[in-house]
Amino acid sequence: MAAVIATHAAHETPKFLVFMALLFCWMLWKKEPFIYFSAVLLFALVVYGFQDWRTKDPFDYSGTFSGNMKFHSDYTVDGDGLRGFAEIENGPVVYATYRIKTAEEKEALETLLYKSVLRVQGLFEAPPPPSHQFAFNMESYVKRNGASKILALESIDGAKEEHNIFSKLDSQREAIKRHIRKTFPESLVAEAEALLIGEREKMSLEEQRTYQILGITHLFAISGLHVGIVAGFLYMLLLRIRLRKESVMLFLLFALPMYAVVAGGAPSVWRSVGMVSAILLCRLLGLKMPVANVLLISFICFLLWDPYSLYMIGFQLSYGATFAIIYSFSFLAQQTSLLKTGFLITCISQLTLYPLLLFHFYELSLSAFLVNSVFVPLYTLGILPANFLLFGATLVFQPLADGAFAVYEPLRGFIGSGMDWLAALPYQMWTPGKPSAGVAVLLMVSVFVFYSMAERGFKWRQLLIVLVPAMGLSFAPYMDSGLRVTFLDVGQGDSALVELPHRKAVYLIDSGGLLRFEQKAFQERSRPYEVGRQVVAPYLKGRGISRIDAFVLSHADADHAEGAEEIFQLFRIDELHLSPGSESTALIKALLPFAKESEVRFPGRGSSWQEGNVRFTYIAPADAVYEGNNDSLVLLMESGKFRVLFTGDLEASGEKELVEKYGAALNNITVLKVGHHGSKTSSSELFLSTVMPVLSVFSSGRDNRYGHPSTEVVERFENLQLRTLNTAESGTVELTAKKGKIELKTMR
Amino acid sequence: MICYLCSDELPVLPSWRTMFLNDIQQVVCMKCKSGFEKISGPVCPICGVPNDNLCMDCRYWETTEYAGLLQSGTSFYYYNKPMKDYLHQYKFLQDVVLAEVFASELHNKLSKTKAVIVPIPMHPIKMRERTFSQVDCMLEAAKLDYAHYLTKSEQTQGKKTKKERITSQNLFLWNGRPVPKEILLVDDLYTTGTTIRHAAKELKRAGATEISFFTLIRS
Repeated sequence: MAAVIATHAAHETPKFLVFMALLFCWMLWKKEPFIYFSAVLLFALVVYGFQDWRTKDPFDYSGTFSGNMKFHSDYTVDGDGLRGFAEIENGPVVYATYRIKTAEEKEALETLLYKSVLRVQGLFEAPPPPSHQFAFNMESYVKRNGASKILALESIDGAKEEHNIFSKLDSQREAIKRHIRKTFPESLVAEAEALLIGEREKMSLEEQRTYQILGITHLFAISGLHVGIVAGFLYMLLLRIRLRKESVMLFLLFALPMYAVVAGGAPSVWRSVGMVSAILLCRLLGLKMPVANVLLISFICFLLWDPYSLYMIGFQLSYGATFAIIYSFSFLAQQTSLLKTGFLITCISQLTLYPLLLFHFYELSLSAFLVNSVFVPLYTLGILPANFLLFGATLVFQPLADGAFAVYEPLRGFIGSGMDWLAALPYQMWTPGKPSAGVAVLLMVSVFVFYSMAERGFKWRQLLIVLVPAMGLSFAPYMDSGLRVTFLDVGQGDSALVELPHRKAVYLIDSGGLLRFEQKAFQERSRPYEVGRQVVAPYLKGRGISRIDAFVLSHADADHAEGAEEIFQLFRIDELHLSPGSESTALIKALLPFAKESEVRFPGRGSSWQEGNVRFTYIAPADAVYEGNNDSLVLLMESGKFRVLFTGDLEASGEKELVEKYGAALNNITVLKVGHHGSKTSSSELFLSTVMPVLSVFSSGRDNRYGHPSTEVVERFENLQLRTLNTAESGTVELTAKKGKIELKTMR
Repeated sequence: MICYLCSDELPVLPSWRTMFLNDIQQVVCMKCKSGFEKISGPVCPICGVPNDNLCMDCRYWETTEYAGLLQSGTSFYYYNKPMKDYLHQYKFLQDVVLAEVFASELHNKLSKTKAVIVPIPMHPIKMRERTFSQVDCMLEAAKLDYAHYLTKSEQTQGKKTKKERITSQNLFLWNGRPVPKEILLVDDLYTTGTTIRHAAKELKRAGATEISFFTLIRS
């Protein structure tokens, strides 16, 4: 505990050392002898000093960089993108990115990268800030991996092969990967790579989503069970060929760390390898050590070796689950049936980790409790050993392996369709949103209180201790009387979210998106950047939204609607509102198959509805012929004096028509979503002087190719002395109307 | 850790309660614990001996001047061979650390009671011989509060016949401190019930109204 606080304090500010006081309170309560207090304090100070000294970084980041660097083994090559953490020779760690120029270069890099020091040129950049508080945060990602800058490589000029134990093991890993890709049937490659060497890049997004919904993603990480099985299997095998017990243990002590490197060195692998090795060592030396101490010692060693691992989700989950299971031993020991024990272990790990999972992912698989009790045994006893045996067969005699595949592949396919069917069942995901750190700690405390009570004799009503706080978290948004309007920073594009008071309804207006260009084969990414999935969805989930009452696509342009497909995959959507006629565009045609479960409407001028005291009215388009920007759905939201106008990409002629039709009814709008990202073809003076918005929001991307918003338009706003915000500069803009007051919050 | 009684390895299973709370630790192994036989089934409503109804002893007591003194009483264990060995080592070989053996059971049983816990006192000379009071030490190990209102007037009970014991003169004297209404007498061993009844009588005389008792062992 002291190690955690001291490490975190060294990374952030010494103020965090105050939390040591809490630790001492706990020790006081436990009536620990004085000597422990001094020991813990001393230990914390030493760790703090050590970690603080390690984070000092005197490197000069100005100007271009030209020199040698080596990628860490977990770099990624996807399409024409190469990225990952790398170590500059005699310098700090940086996050390096590179755009591969030709197919030949890509091939060359793939055979060289893992074993070579590269000679490169590039520019240091500050990591980009996150678009909203629930989005992936590059700044802290970079920082929490011990780096502080991004190195954007301009060219890779040369490579020198390295020869040491690590590069040998990395080569081995590459060789295994290639071997699997060559010999395994296509449908089994992804799983075999994940289970054998911890490589998950081949897994498709759909598969990942299925595993997430079922809460079995952890099965594809190399975990404690996994290492236990490998070690146990080897142990039995070597004893069978009549080796001495001691020599087998000694062998395992050497082999396991090597396997950890080959398996990609994820924190869970190192944790389990570390623990198994420690236990083997104790056995060899005839020492007796409680397993809880083995766990805690390995935890401290891990932190001292790589302090930044503290922030890795895998590290937190792996240690969290193991910690929980070990401390439940005395409870588990009372159980008599093996089946029940297995189910309890699943429940304990899920329950312990749930505050942590919510904090990182904002949602939780509820079916995981049941599904895991089936799939954990299935994987550890069936699929995992099968993969090892099949891999062995491909090494020894390929025809034998082919025979085995002929049986195994349909079997695995059957299990796969079973998973898909299970994952398609509704209401499995619980999306309460992201708890604040304080709330997450409270949830954790509720779990610990429950454990302490249940240990003395479990009663069903004790479950309330856990359920009540969880329900509280779930219902919190329904208590909020504020009306929230959010303009999401989706780069160049539009996306706005309306949340009615008490969560009566949620409306999403556009989803952002990218205009995608034709690409060469080598450039195509298996995981392209997707605005809907990576920006819009995390915001909704972070706010605890899993259902959208109406999804409005103002018009069929990529920067408003390209991300919609992902929203349909990830949320339940009751209604889809389209501009009349836009359904015949290629973009919407491609989208509609995803919208099968939603009711599609084509509202026009005058369509309106009311929810509580909030009124929504479409004031355009007037005709059913779709002709592009000027046929954008224009939505007016009114809640008393708080009136917001969402204009889509409406242009000057459309604006003129609105002014003629509605005139003074459009006066004194509170917030205007500026038409067409501030293009000079929109926001005419006539329109602006009619609407006179208190605040106008440009939804545009940084350094976008169109030069939005145009200086002309910005001047128009300035001349009328209208206040503006731009998502490109301010990030996501959040407005909350509550009790007649409007609160404005920007991301930066 | 090793078991206090048989010195076998005592596996310490990690648990949530040991981490967060100050629960009383088990100091003997499961095997030793299972040697002590618990009293279960129907018991005598007054003295807690296994019996379907009022036992013969209590029927006799209820005809004497001690009638109606005790509300109820319970005992945990039979006085079997392992228990005799334990008590011998604890009391006569003065292995005071063994006071902890039943601490968690005592705590769970008695910590909720509203009555004031009154241990049966020892004679001062006996106390000097043994160096500790076995009942007080057990209560302390179990983190229970107690108070003394009695002093022992006569030295020993152990070497008398049953007849002598039942008819003996009062063994206790009130020490003069004001006595609470509700009292729970605690002793290590209940044999004939003379000790408990004598103590109860003296306490009743001093002002107590409801008196019940608890003994660890029932012979």
